Amino acid sequence: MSAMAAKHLPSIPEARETALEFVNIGKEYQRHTKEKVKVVREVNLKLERGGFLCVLGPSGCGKTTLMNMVAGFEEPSEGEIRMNGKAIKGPGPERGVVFQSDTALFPWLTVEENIAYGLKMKRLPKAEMKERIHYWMKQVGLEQHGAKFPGELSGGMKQRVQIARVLAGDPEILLMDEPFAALDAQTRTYLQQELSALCRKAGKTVLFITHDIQEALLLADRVIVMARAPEPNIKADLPVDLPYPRERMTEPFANLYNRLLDEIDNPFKASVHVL
Amino acid sequence: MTSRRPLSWRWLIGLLGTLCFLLLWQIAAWLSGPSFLPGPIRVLLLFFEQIQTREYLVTVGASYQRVMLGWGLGSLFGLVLGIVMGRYRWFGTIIYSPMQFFRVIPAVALVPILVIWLGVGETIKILIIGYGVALVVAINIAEAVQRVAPARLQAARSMGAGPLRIFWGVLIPSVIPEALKGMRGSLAFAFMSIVGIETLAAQEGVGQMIWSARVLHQTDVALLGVLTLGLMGVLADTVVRLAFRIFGYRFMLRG
Repeated sequence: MSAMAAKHLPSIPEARETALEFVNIGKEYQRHTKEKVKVVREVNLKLERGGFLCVLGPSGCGKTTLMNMVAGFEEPSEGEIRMNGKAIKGPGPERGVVFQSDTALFPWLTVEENIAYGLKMKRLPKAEMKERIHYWMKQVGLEQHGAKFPGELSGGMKQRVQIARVLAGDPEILLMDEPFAALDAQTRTYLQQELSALCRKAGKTVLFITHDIQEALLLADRVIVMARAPEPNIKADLPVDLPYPRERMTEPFANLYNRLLDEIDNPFKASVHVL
Repeated sequence: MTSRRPLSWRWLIGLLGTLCFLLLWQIAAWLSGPSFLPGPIRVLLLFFEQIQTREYLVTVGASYQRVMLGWGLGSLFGLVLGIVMGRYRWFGTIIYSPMQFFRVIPAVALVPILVIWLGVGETIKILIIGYGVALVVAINIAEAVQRVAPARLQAARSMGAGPLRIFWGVLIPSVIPEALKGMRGSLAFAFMSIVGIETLAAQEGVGQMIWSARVLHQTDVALLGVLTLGLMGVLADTVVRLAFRIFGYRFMLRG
């Protein structure tokens, strides 16, 4: 329908542009036993520009592998991942990655120098670099801590540094692999709220991996559920049409929560029914 | 940035331990007679007397030079070898088992064969000291290289760093703490080897001084040699530790 309409309205850009596209993605690993294990199977997916997609699933379902392929750390065994229509080959600064582990930071560099690391390779003018670093330190609430080393920061602050470092590089796509999983509940809640606001403000396309249903519902405008083999890899794909900032204690939130809980494999589900 | 710790009780207790040890030594010396076991007072007096002589200083200088040269060159070689071993798995695998074999062989055991090959010049001494140091440092570094967090390397790659930048800017700084630890540890190793090599094949040096004291039954000279070695080791370790703290401060930080 939209294609037909577009013919009559020539100069209006398509509202829902595709930023990232997975075409028949499969990934196999060779295990020690020589049998091949297919972790990712036939993933077909399109991410809209500016969208916030959460990938939800139990451990071992291939969600991190999926992200590593987008980041360019691993190559798909089958299919192609396209960014703006071009196949992804290797890592690149247009795809910023926030890792779960704070070992991704450079402990011998200060907060400021960590954020500057990627900018140095972009050969920005000194003044602009400084301005960007300070802007992003302020955005994540670290303006007082620029001269500190990562070892002097709390876990939550270290993740803020990672987020600032990635956003300062102005990537088109933000890839986040359970960035808050190792934090305490309080810090996690703060960071979720801040990230949600930051991303909407910056208009970035986000691919966010998590195993936390609440987190997915607080952040995403679309959630996909991945399952372990032999089930189809993408088990559910649903939009989250709730207004931001999200409230946990509302009925629509609870309904979506229960629905997602049902979709995620629970190996103990059968026994619960027996009880 | 460096926080200074106040002089604590622990320091005093440490001093007390040293004094107790010296006291026991002195008592034992009194009981056994000075020619069998010279007491600390006598050894210290001899030390202050000797330190003003040219001969003693030449002896210490010769040993120090060997230790530092052997340690420095051995460390350098060990660093390079360790990085290559850690970085290229196949090379590491090939070289690892022979290294495990050589690790348990004391450097001194190789002296006779090396004397036959190289004679008794300075080269053999530096080689013997460097051998032990290089082994320890290389194994340490190889393991450290493999333990560098994959997320850190991936982060650098995704920010656009090429292989050369990752090597010098991420891999090397990441293994500096382990490198320094290995180097400091192997400094003790270097001092252990020096005595062996100097007693077996040297004209001068502290090891030679200790060994030749036996001929004239100079127990005080032998103990002076031991004291000298200890002081040399403590001094070298302090200098190295300070240098690390000044030049490597930020690299010693943990994430």
